[in-house]
Amino acid sequence: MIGEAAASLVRADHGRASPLIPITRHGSPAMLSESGTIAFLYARSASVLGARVVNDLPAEVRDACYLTHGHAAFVVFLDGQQAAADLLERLGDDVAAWELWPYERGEVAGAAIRWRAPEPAPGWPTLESVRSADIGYESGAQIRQFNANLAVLSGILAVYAPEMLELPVWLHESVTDMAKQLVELQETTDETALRAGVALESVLIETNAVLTLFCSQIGSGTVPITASTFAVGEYSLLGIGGMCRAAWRLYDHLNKTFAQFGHADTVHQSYTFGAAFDVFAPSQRSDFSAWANSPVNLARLPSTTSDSKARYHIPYFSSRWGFHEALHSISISWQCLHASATKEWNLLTVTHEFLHAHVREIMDQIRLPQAGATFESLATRHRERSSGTTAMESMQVAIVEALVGIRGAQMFAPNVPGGQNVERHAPVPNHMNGAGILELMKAHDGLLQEIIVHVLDFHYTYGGRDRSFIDSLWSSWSLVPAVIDNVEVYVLRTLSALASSSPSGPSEQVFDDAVARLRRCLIDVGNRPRTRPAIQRALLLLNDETRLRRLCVRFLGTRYVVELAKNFFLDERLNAALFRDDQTTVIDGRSTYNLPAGEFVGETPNSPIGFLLDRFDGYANQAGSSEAEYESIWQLIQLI
Amino acid sequence: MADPLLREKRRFTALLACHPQVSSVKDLRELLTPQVTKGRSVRVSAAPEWDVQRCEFLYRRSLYPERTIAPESRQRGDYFAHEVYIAGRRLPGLGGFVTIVASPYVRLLNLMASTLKAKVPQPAPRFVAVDIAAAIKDLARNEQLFSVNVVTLQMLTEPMLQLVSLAGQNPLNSKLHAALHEVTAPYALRAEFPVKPPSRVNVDRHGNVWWYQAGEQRFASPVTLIDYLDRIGALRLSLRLPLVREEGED
Repeated sequence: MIGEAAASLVRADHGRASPLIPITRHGSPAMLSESGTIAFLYARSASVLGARVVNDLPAEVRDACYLTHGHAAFVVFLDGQQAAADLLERLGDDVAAWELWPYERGEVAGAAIRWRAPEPAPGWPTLESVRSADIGYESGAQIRQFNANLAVLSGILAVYAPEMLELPVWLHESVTDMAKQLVELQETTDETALRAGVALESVLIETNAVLTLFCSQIGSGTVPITASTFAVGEYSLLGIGGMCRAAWRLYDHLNKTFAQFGHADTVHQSYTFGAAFDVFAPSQRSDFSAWANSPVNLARLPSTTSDSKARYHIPYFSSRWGFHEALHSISISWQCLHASATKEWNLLTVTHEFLHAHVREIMDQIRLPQAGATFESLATRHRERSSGTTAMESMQVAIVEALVGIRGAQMFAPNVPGGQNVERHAPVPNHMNGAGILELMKAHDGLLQEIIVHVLDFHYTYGGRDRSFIDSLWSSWSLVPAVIDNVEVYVLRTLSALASSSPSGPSEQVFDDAVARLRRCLIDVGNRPRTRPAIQRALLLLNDETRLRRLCVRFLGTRYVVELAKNFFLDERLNAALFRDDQTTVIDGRSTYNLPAGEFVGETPNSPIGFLLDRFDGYANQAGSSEAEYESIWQLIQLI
Repeated sequence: MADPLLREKRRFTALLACHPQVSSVKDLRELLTPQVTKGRSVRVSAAPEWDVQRCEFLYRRSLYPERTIAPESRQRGDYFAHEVYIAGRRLPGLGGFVTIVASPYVRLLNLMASTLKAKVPQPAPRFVAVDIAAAIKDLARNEQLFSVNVVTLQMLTEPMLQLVSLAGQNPLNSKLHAALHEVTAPYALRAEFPVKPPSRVNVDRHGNVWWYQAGEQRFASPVTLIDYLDRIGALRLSLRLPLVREEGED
């Protein structure tokens, strides 16, 4: 519709268009009068401006107002220029910028378009170019490209998304640091230095690729709209800048909360001198009581005040990568733009990706060779069943023990066609050496980290709630082809997460408990109208005694990891910080925001995670609900 | 004739509201006409800054318990009159005129709120919410005219447990409160005023205020609490209507 109205002006741009969604939940598309003015409103806070429009303006203005995915989050169809002037006066400072398109007889009068651009945020820093002169040709080119990208990004954010200040500042610091390392590496020519240089260059290439894409997304739909370009057909007129801000809000809340607790730094500082713990008492995978109330549980250690600030990712939308985490970026499925209020494309999936970065940082601290320590000495300690003298040494050995268990269980599982007697001991190679540890890590570190991520996600994001966790996980997995072909691994991962809240006991008991809980919830997910092969295959597995016995053997391997995560890495203080929000109330024994879709109250949730989790149970599944598009854009606008 | 507000020893709930078109109690009464009639000034000696009036709210049936208040005694044509308090003053911290509407019957408060919204749709009325965390922080350090003998905390890490209340002479300075601090968020508190018998006023973060009123002069207690919260900057305006409380409470 707006595409049609604007077609006469932007015909050269091949009919750019963007969806408009009525601001009121059951509103209908406006009938354009023959002449009038279209007002594009850019909000300081879209949730506040939305509340003003819905609650403080006459019904006829509210009914002519539409939500968009762009920086101009609101579009209002007015009778003429005077009505537009009146509206802007009433809304005052809640409108950061505007653009007015007068039109007559269905044609926008291009020459009469007026706009007011937003003011740049006061005190916005000037980021000097990162020096590239002393760096090799390829890396130097990447640095120069980065400088240009950062200049564009900083200029856009200063005006349209000042809340993202930390991102360009951090990127600048990070790349400056990389440039210094590249200069130093040039002074040596050994293979290690060469590899390190190539690795850094890869990071720069990836950063630039994402930065370019992000600039395009966050810079779309800026003022004047006719000059701003965004080469994605369905959002080509107004862009998706508003949705980028919403995604940032969610990410930033996660990032700042985790940074506040600084778990990686705590591990680095406290484990080095913390008391050792018994790595091998739970080796039977039966009794983990030796780890209960461990003094080196992160939940018991004071948060470390460190000099290092939060590290950042660039959160961007991608149809190619879906949900994915890399060193400097987190991609969010493109489908979330119009379907984030569905089970399949819900935004809580971001937490899983975020936690990969968190877990990786913790594991990097544990694996860092301490002074004098090498993988050979680690192998010796494991072989001698020595827990070491410090918590760091214990945890290093525990990781090896976990990897050995995963490998052993994986090796045994196919050999157990359904027998009652299951071997409890995983085979330990006669002479585990440093190279052997590296092989173990290569083969099984991925699953180890996935288990830890799932355990933390289950508790941090879903509060230990089976139904929401399983529904969210399997609804999103149900659309991934790889899950169908490898359903056993995904079932194992889910069971491992659930096991972290099972009553303690022998592993077979814990396994049975987790299976019962997963089966119960998965049946409901599978009963939805749309056929989901992944879920059907999972249910077949969960109802097949023979396959379950083999899976139980694999579970013996992962259980050790589950208990490590639960007893050492889970911090309920962080959990509380993620959900703390005065806007929640308690109704029917449940904490809730009590905010039906369509209401605008002008209060941005302090916990975006809590807000989205509160909404999750009411989400449509992909097959149903004509209102999913409205709810998707409405909930993201609440975050801005 | 028996005074319903004196005879009916029920718990009062109050709603705090603001609107640009309401800068006096009289303004609010006029907006709520014809449901609200017959305002009579009440001088609450311990809170002279507040303009307090006792009014009748007309509702289609009598909500009073019949054993104490005969419906016929409250009949006004097709309606039944219910005594309500309407009070107001300008709060310097909040920077605006705040009105309090108090009644033992939450449904009447809801009706008054919806009537106000209907009469002055733009801008919509705002209600007053409370920063309980700020109040607790201040109360832990500074003595006031009242003590806090109940604090209610929202549990943030246990899906099966939502609210925990600590009650005693000084729960704010207890070890348990300190231990729960990192995994909870303040939700509500009860202030006790040192009169005989003690006057106790509850307030939650949404702006629900409720108390047991033994006599008309005890209206001073809730307004004194509101004055204190305003003084420490713990009040804010919200579009959200309070009047939502945990099931099971009166």
